[in-house]
Amino acid sequence: MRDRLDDIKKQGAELLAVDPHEDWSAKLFLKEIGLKTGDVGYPLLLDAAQTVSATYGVSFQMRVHTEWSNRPATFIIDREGIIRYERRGESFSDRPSPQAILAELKKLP
Amino acid sequence: MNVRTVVSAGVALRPHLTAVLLLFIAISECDSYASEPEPQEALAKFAKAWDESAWLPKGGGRFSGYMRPLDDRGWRERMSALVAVAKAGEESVGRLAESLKSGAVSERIFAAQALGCLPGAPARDALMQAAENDDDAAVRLYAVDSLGMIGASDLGDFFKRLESKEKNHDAKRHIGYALAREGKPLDPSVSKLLSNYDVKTIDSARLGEQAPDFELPSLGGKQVKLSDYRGQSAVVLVFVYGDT
Repeated sequence: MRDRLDDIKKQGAELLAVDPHEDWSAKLFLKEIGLKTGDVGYPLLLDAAQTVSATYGVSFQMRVHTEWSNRPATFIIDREGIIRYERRGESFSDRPSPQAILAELKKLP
Repeated sequence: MNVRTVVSAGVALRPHLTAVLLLFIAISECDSYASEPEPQEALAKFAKAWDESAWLPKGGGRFSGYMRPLDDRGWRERMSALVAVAKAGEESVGRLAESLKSGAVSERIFAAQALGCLPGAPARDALMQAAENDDDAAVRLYAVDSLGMIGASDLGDFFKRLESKEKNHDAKRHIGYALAREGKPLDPSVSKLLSNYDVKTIDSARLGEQAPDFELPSLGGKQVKLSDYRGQSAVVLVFVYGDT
């Protein structure tokens, strides 16, 4: 997704990511995949209380031995603030492709 | 008579009104988020929502069995319960500590999770006891999480001892996380956000409608408000789980 950031911006859109972790934990995850905070390229928003995730209906409780989490989900919100596309994943790999997101952005008025 | 009064009366006059109370809870299932449940009612609901049969079938990768179906209600009940407990604040500590010691597995899991979100480092001893001795790995895991969240900077040796004897892979991983936070407590804004949250807005984002507004801190420390983009640009809002 980070690779297609420029394409998203060319379509007049901004990418916002919402992560359910606290700051120390989000930094730890980034470190595990070899990134620093400044490398992300878009705002990584921290929703540690998971209230935003709950409002958008993407919270779920993982099986015991793991934790409370976000399902992968993508929403496209137009300039007027209206939700024009939504997809809530049913597995961890269930995400729209960057191409699919760009195609949806092109449909916006 | 409002909801609060009915529930309080039911609890006060136990066991005579238990049947009435159960009936009330059954009826209120139809309209779970229209009112804020009392902590004890919330706990009962959470226990009921902890339904193993709701899991997706296993297969297709290590994590596929972990994710519940889209129409699962369990997380909503859990969120409502957590909000109810956060609103009640210190009042719920005693009951949660009691549940953590002697409740059913689902109650112990919820109590272990919720105690970390309450201000004032509550029930530390009960959490330590559960983290070390509970039979259920999920209870141990959440108790460790909550001990980390209450900012137990002097528990390094305790965590290391647990880590050396914990057999469960996930619980062990979370002991590592508790050590990694180096005594940093949960930001007080989290319990405040929970206690101010309106459970009526759970799952309220709808296609074709106004996106619910929010304001969150970014990892870089800036506050970002969704409505600030209005009239400026479209937004691709992606929910992730540490997998950016």
